[in-house]
Amino acid sequence: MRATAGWERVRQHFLATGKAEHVLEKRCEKVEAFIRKAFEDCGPVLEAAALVAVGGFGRQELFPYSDVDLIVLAGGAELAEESSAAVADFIRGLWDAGLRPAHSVRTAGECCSLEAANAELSISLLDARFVAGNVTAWRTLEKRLDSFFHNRRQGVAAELARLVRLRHARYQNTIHHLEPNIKDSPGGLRDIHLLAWWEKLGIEPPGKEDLPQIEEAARLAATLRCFLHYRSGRDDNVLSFQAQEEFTASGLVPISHTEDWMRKYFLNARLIHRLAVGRLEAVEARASKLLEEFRGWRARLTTSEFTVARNRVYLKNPGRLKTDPGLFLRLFRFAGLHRVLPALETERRLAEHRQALEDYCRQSGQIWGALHEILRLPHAGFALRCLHESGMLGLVFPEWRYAEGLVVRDFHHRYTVDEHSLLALERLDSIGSAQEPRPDRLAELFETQEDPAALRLALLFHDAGKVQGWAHHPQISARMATDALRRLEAPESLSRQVAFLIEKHLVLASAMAGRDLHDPVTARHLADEVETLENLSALTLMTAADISAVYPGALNAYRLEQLWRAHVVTHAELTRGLEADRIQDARTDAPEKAAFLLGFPVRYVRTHGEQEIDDHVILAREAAARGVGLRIRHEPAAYRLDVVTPDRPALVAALSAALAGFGLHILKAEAFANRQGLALTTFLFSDPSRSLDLNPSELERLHVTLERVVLGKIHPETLLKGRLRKPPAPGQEVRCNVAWNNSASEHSTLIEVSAGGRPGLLYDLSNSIARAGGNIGVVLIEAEGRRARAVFYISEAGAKLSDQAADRLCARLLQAAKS
Amino acid sequence: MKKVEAIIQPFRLEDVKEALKGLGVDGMTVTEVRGHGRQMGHKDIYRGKEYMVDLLPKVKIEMVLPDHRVEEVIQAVLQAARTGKIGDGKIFITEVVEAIRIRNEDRGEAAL
Repeated sequence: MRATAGWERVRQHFLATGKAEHVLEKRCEKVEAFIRKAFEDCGPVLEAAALVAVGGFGRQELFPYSDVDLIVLAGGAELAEESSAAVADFIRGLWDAGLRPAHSVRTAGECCSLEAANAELSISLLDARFVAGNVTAWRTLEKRLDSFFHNRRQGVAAELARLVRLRHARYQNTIHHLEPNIKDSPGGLRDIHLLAWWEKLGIEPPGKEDLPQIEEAARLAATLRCFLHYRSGRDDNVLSFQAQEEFTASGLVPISHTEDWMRKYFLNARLIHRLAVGRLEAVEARASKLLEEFRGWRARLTTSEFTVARNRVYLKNPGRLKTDPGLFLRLFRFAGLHRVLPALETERRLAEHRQALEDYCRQSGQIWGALHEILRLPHAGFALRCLHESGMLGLVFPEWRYAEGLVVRDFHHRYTVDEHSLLALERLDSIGSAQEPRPDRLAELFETQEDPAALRLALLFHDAGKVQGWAHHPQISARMATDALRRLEAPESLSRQVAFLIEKHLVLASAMAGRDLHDPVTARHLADEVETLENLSALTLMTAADISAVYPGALNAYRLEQLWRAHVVTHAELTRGLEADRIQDARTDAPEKAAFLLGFPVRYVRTHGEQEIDDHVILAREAAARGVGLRIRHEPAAYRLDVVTPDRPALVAALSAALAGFGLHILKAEAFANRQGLALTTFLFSDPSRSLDLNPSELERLHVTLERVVLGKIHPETLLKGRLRKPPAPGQEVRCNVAWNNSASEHSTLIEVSAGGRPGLLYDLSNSIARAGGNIGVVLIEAEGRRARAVFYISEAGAKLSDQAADRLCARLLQAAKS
Repeated sequence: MKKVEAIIQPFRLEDVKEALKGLGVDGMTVTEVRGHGRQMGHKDIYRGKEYMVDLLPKVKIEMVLPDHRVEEVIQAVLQAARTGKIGDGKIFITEVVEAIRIRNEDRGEAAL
C-alpha cells in the first residue's frame, strides 16, 4: 500500500482534474481490498469477529494519508487471548503497509452504550458498514444499532451537539479564520458531515433549495482536503497562506485570484455553518427544558410586525416586505434591541425580496434614519452582525462587500477583515455594557460618547480599504466610508467624524508600540494628531476594540496599560492646550467671522462645524444688539443650548442654575471667551422628566428665563429654591476629587473636579469659584453615568492663583461637590 | 552557554533588535511583561483623580548565547536600550546547562 505507480496515477489524475471523488473512490477500493484480505488471512482465530469500517472509512471518504477508522467487532463476549494477539498482528500489518489504522476492539453491547466519555464512538458508528469477517456478528450489531439509535436518538444528538460546541469553541465560533482548518473549523467538512448525521438521527434535513450549495461546498472542501494532504504528505487540513496561493496556482478551481476563491470558500462555509448551528440549537432546545421555558418566555415578545419564537425573530407578514421594504431595517433594529437572531425562515424571506430591498437601499436618504437608530443601540454590534450574516449588510453598504471574506496576509490577525470588524463592534458593545459598581475605565469613556454611531461606523469600515493592500488602508477605508455616508445622506458632521476616526485609527496603537509615552514630545505629537478630547475618547475606544478583535486575548493587561498610558498623557496635553492654544489667525474671508474667532481656543474650531460657527456669529450679532444671543436646539438624544454674551463673572454659574431650576440634567458644557470679550457658552442637557418634550410652551419659558438670567434680571438662586436634592442611594456614592495644576497654563490655574453628578452641581462649583474671586477662562464639563467631571481654567486679577489660594479654592470646591 | 534576559522599555525594542541583528544575533524570544523595580510604579492624575500605576509595561528579551558572545551582546543592549531615565530596565545573565534543538536533537552550542 506504500507509494506505487497506482497511487501516483490517482494523484496525477487529481492534479489534472481536481476531482476528489476519484481519489476517494480509488483509495477506498484499494485500501478496503487490502484490509479485507489481511483480515481474512488471520484465519479461524478471528472467525467469530467482524471488521467494521466507521468514520471517514465508513463513509467511503478515505482521503490521502487519512486515518483508516476500524472496529474489530468481537462476535460474542470479549476476544480470547489468541484472538487479541491476531488482531495486534493484523493492525501491525496495516501499519507496515503504510496505512494509519485507528482501531478499537468492541463487542456489540459496547457499541450500543452511550457514554459521555466516549461519545465519539457512537457518532462514528452512524457511518458503520461491514468490511470483512463474520457476517452474523455484523448483522447482530446492525440490528442493535438500529434500535440503539432509535431509542437513544436524543441522547446521542445531545452528545453530538456538545462535541460540536466544543469543536466550534476551539475556533472561536467563527468560520472567518485567515488560515482556516478546512476540516474542523466551523463551516468545514465536519459540519457537512454533521448535516448528514443530524438527518440520520431524525433531525430535519436541509431544505431542497440549499442542497446545490451544500453539494458544491462539499465538492470544494473535498478537493481542498485532497490537495492539502497531497501537498504536505500527511493529514494536514490547515489552509495556510502559502497553501492558498499554491491552490490558486494549481488550477484545480476555475478562479485565478486567491482572494476571490477564498471569498467563495467563506460563502460556502457560512451556509454550512448556519445550517449546522440552526439544527444544533433545535437539538439543544429539546435537551433542555429550562432553556425551552426561557424561549417560551421570549415568545411573549411580539409587536405588530415581529414575533419571537424559540429565541428567533419571525416576520408576522413577510409579504409586506414587497410594499414596505423599510420593514427589513426595523427587523434588525428589533433584533438588536432584544438581542434575538432572525430565524432562518425570516432570512429566507429577506432573500426572496432581495431585489426589492436592494432597490430600496439605493434610493438614498431613505434608510439613514433607521440605520442611525440601529447604530445607537446598546447592542448595535449584534444587530450589524445579524445584518451581515443574513447577507443584508452589503445591500445597505455596497462597500462592505469588499471586506466580506477578505483575507489579508497579516501574521498578527487571525480573522478575515469582515469578521475582525464585526468582532471589534461586538467588543465595543461589551465595553459599553460593563456594569457598575466596578465600572471599567473604558466603559466610563464609552459613556462620554455623544453619538456612538460615528464610532461604530468607523469600526465597521476601518479596515475595508485593505482590499487595496495594507499601505494607506486608513485613507482608503475613510474614503469608502465617506462615499457610503454621502450616498445615505448622513449628516456631514458625522461623516467627517467617521472619516477622521478611520484615518487616525492606528495613531494610538503605533504610539503604544514605538513611542516613549513618558516623553512630552510624544504627548504633543498625539495631541496634535487627535485634536480634541472627544476624538481622544473615541480613538481610545476604537483602538481597544480593534486590538481585542485581532485574536482572543490580544488586549492583554500589558496592552491595556500601554493604551491607557497613551490616553492619559494625550488627555493631559489636550487639557493643557484648552487654555493655551488660542486662535491667532482666523483663516476666513469674512471679517465679522474672523473677529469672532480670534482668541477662542483652537478646540472651538475643531469641535464645531462651519454651519455651527456661522450660527454663533449670528448669535454674536444679536448679543451686540441686545446683550445676549441664545439658541436652543433639540438633537436626537439631548438638547443643545448656545449662548453668546459679553463676558462677565459667574455667567456659567447663572446659566447652570437656570437649567437645574428647570430640572434639566447637564451632560456637557463648555465656555470660553474671545478677544472681543464675548463669551460663548454651550450646554448639552437632557430632559429626564420630558417637560420640554411634552409642553412646547415650557421650551419658550426656558428660553425667556435664560435670557433674563444672562441679562441679570433674575437672580439664579431664586430658580433653585424648592428643588430637592436627592441624596445618592446607599452604595451609589461617588468619591469626589479635586486637583489643581499651576504648570498647565501661563496665565491660569487648571482645576479638575471629579464628583457624583446631580442637578445644580455645576452651579455650586462655578458659584464657589465666583465667590472666591476666580474668573473662569475656560470650562469643560462632562457627565458620565453617575459621575461628572469638570475642567476649569481659573485666573484671579489676570494671573494664576497662588498655591495657597488654589488649595483654599480646591477645599471649597470639594465641599461644594460633596454637599 | 549563558542566558541573557533583558527587561527594557517597550519603545526601545526596535532599536535593540536592530543592534542585535547588527551583531548577527537572530535568535531571541520577546515577551510583553509588566512589573516594577525600585521606583514601585508611579502616580498619575487623570481628570482630577489620582491613581497609582504599580505594574509598568516592559518588554523582556531572552537569548541563549555562547559564552564568548555574551559581553558584546550586553554592550549592544545597554547602548540601544538606555535613555538615562528611571525605568530603563535590567539585564540578567544565567548559566545554561544544555540546549537541544527539537527538530534534529542537536545539542550544546550547535543547537543555538
